[in-house]
Amino acid sequence: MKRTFTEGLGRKELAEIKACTQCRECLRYCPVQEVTGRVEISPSEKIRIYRDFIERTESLRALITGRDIPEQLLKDFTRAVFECTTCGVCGEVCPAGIDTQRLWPLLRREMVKRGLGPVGGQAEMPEVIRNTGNPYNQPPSERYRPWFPDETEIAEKAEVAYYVGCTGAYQAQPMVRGDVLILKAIGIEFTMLKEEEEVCCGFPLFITGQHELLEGLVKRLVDAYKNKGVKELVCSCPCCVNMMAKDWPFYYGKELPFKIVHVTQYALKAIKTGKLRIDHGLEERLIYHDPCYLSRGVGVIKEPRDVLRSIPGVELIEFDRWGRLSRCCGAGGAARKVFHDNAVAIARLSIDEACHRGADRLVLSCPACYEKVNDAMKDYPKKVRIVDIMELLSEIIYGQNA
Amino acid sequence: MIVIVITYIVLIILYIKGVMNVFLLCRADSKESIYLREKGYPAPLIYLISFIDVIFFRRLFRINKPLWLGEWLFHISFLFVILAHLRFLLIGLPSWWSHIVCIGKYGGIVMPFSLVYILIVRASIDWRRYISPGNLFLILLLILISLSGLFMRYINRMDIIDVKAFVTGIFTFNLQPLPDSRVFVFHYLLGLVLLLYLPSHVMTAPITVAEARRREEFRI
Repeated sequence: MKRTFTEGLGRKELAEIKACTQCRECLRYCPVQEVTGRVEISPSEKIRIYRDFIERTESLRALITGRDIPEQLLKDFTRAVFECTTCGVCGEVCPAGIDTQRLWPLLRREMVKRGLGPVGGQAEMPEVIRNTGNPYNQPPSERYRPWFPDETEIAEKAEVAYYVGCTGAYQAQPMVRGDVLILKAIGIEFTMLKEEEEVCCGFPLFITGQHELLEGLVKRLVDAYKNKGVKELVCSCPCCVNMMAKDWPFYYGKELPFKIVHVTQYALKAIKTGKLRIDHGLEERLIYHDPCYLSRGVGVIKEPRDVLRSIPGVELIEFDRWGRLSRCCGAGGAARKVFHDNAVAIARLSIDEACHRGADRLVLSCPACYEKVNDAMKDYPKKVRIVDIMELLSEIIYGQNA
Repeated sequence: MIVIVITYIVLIILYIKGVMNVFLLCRADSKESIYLREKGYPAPLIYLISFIDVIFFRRLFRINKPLWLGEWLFHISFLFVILAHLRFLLIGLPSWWSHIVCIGKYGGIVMPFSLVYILIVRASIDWRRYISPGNLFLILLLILISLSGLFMRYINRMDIIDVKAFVTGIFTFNLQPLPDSRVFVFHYLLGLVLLLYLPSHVMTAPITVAEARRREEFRI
């Protein structure tokens, strides 16, 4: 029997598709709209087209006009749904409250099941992850070695574990180095999986609708941390944190035996309890960029700001849109490689605003943002120094040679 | 006679559409659907907060206050206009229903103004980008329906007994003559078009808005 367009949707998603009022409020916030201006790939249009697919195949209209959908329409829709950065701001501003950050991956999965997606290099991801454990086709042996701070001890077993994440390990190394230095400064005993054991969290596969490997990856990781007696899993990558907190329980089959904590939450707790002391100040104007999956995804908005405010002398300024309404850096949704021009143009919007507001440094807390904003500054006249939040903190605590 | 035939065709279409939608929703307990792990409120509190979100369009208020004013006024006035119209459909409504009818009377006046206001607010942003063709059609349809309704109420008053006999006759298969008014036929037929075109968000948006509140409160 032919696959239907509602087969991969739950009641919640189906209700959401039917709930779109076509008001187009989302267009005013969508970062892809900001740089392309193409209404046909806007969130409301994607929902309208998908609703049309359902009506053409599973409603009264299907009985009258037949069930065929032109191939080109399916291809255009697939491209539109994969061009999205899945930042979820459309859902945040949606008057009907549609959870688009969850809906787009499901629509992508539907197109993958129909053999129309994913797009570009995304299709190679499952094979690459199967072979190397990461989506960047990098050797597992190089996961920690190039950046891991000297004289840092990793316990065999501990209640706290640190998960590096693939993007941090291979693309934003100062960031993950900063994380480890801060854990070291806190003085907590922490454990990590061996380089070949720490595989992808599954987020790139989830977000591109290629869900086959997910259960295996998640079970492997969760069991490995469970065997180490972990009670808190600390991670700095917002995408990984989002995946772990929201989706790992499903793929693991039950509640996780440990808590997921973002590194800024962990650092803030340590600052408050006096375990992490910031003795030196920093006379700078900092602007903090909220990662989509950290703010809209798991609600971590206050903690990074409190960490920055705890640095003496820092003046913290905000983007026009911050917190749950923050603008995507352009790197999200595994679209940054395929739709590179969009991603760079979106990242430059944040660079422009940071320069305009006179920030000395743009503070990030996501490896994908770190990589993309860096990338967007190449051949661009406007420049702003970027730094990861833990990189900055470690610089202050250990000095410039951290 | 043709109006009656059209009415029955529309009602049959609506019935089939409704059954198919219910079937789709019942079937959508997909094994492929992802499990969402979200922290909930104590039940009574989430119901109360979500109810307030739904009734007052809090999400729209948060992001676009000028539009919120028009949309909220339109929806609330439309609701009371519909409730007031039930007197043409149902027999034996309680006496206090006259209060609803009275509010509906004012709602009928507010409705076209709120719709025009919505169009102006949207047009002031960027007409072509922020008004979808479907949305524009629906707003124009509603303006025509409400203006023709106002015309019948204040200028060319209809005999309510005739209208009620005609409408209830359709539902009880005891067909009665169509009231002799072109404006009524116009209003009535556009009402049928609206029924066919009624956006699905009327049924589902309250659920998704309530669900969104739970999502907003999710924290790791």
